[in-house]
Amino acid sequence: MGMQDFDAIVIGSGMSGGWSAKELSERGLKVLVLERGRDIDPAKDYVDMLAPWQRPNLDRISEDEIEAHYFLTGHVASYARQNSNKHFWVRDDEHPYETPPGKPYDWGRGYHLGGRSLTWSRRVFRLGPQDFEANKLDGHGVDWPVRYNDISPWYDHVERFAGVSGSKENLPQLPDGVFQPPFELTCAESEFKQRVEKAFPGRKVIPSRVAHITEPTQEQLELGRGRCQVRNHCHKGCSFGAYFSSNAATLPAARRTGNCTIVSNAIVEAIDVDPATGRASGVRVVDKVTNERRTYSARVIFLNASAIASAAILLNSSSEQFPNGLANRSGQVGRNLMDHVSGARAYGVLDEFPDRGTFGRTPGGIYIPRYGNITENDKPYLRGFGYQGRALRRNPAGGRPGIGPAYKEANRALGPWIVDIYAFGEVLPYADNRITLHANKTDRWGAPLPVIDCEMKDNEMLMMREASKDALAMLEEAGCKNIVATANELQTVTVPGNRIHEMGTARMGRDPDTSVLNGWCQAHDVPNLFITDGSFMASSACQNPSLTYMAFSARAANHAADLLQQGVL
Amino acid sequence: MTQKPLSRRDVLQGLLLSLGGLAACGEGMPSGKIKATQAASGDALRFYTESEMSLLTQIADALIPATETPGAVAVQVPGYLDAMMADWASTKTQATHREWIAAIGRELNSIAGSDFVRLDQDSQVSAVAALDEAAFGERAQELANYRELKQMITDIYYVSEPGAVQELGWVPVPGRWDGCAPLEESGHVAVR
Repeated sequence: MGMQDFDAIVIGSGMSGGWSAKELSERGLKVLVLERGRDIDPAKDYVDMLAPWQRPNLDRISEDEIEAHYFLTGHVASYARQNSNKHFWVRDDEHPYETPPGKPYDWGRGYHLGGRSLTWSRRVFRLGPQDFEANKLDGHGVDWPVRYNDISPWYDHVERFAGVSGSKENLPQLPDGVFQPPFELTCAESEFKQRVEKAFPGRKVIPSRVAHITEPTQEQLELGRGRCQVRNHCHKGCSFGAYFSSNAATLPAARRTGNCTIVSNAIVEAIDVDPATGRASGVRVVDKVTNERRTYSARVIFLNASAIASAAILLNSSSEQFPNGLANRSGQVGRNLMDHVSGARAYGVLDEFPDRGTFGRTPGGIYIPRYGNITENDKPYLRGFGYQGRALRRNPAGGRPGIGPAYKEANRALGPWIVDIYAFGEVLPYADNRITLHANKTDRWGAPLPVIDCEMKDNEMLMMREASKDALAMLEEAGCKNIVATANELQTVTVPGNRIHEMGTARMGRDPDTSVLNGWCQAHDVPNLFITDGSFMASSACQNPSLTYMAFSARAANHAADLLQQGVL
Repeated sequence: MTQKPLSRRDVLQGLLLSLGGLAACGEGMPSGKIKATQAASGDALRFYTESEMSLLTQIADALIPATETPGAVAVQVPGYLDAMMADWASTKTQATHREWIAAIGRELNSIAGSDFVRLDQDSQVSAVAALDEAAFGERAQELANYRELKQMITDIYYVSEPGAVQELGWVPVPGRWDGCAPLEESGHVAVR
């Protein structure tokens, strides 16, 4: 069954797919969004309104369920998932993948409308000019075919719509954006900031930047979104629409144009290409529930299935013209898989402000932007890392001796201010960090299982060793006590995938021999195919990547619309 | 409904019998029980035996008694834990937990020099206090199971409404953020 009722098909409704759908729809195109997972109904699926006493079993997933369904990725993003919101994360027995022995990969994801835009931690930072030049400078990967100034207006555009809370800091390596008021630092964070910036003049401690509304615009109110209520129930879905998700923001915007159709339970198997024109001609779908197979066609295809899944679709779309997978003349599809690396951490007590605490449960915290090879040079590692962190007073009920009324009384007391920082480092693009398709194993819908072969290498290890030392030094200089630091322990780094920032599998570049996409996220080999999820990233930088996926999606969608209007596509 | 004033022990027995329904002793019964338990509907025990439940209830009451706020028994911590062990725990964890309860019962009997569950309330509190002191002191290694049980009881108590709201100041919808609030305004940061 062929259906060419659409100008554009968007594969995936998550962080980047929602933006592709919105921008294309707002340009007047008839858009079809194909989401492999089920629809999300906030009234039924969001559980943010449950009080702690309304969640049985301390909201733990049952042990038998973990063994049956979450045996592989159950530990990934454990901070974000409990029993009440486990439906936002895949079951490993339903969605298996393979890894070589001794090389684990943590592929944490959810298959439902909105994808991980529903479950992310909402950190939003722009890449800086240095990030777009990094590959050219040290020769790892291929040169980005764009520069910061090409993307800057699109960062403005997406920040304005999404709602980003942050402070102007005037840092070249972490450009300011269109901000709503920041979540102020706690007293301990402010003190930590002052002491660290004094002891380390090249370093800054700033309010984190988060995709939360603190001062809603008219546009946001009209979409039914409201101000953040500071509950920290974000991972349960937000009934106030206060943090950015496809569900709260881009999909409603797409829908209200009247141009957008969203089909869920539609698993894309492959993209067909017309050998006569060299254009993508159809998207083959298998229905998740009925197993019915259908094909849709459109003039332009946006692939937004997320980096590993998009690469898998391309590799599964071989033809005479593309024997190694669609748009893969370069051989780079599936390669250069990156994530961020963590592992360096330090936390300790800041013995100040005993008569102060906090009201509300902020999504904010602090961020220490990258200083390595920016303001501090002669580092043993390439590229760099930033730190996310907090300084809060914990109230650890229990974990202490005593019983009876005195125990209850002691449990009321707030603990001391604890500063806690942990690094996120850049991962280099390595050709042999890659996904391929299993030769014969398939999932229950017949799709070949992804084989993810990826490891952290020397620069990542070295970076985290240095970040560990730096974290300890900052806490010591700030006067923290009882410091627990990875610098004092056996060094480990996070397993690839664990930061849930996978990217790079269809990188953009200047040369079709060594890259999959041009600077518009347009496939060199297939002019009506655009890939604007994390696949396009030529390098990973150390900043959380979602904001960059948003900006590139908006830019590419508008370019595609231009090309359609000009009759080029 | 008795006419004479109820002893503390009577209240506990009444609660045990009703297992989640409001005990029949009238005024002053606290509200805000943890709602989401099987036991709350008045069903029979699903994991613990009667004697295990009795022991657990008496330990929970000694650990977190009623003060100006309800205690662990009034908010049905034992019932919640019974449902949790039935629904959340694997067979292996259930077996281990069962061993803990038995071992802790033996310890309390040994400390009391007699049958813990038959003691008067003050003596029970003393026995639990002695066990607690040993578990955080010179016998820490061998009494890890007691500390684990104590933490479970504690965690469950503080997700109840009295525990979270009255004791720890949890606010469902703060609506604003103050990073440097006076202590009397500051509530629990990390109730999940």
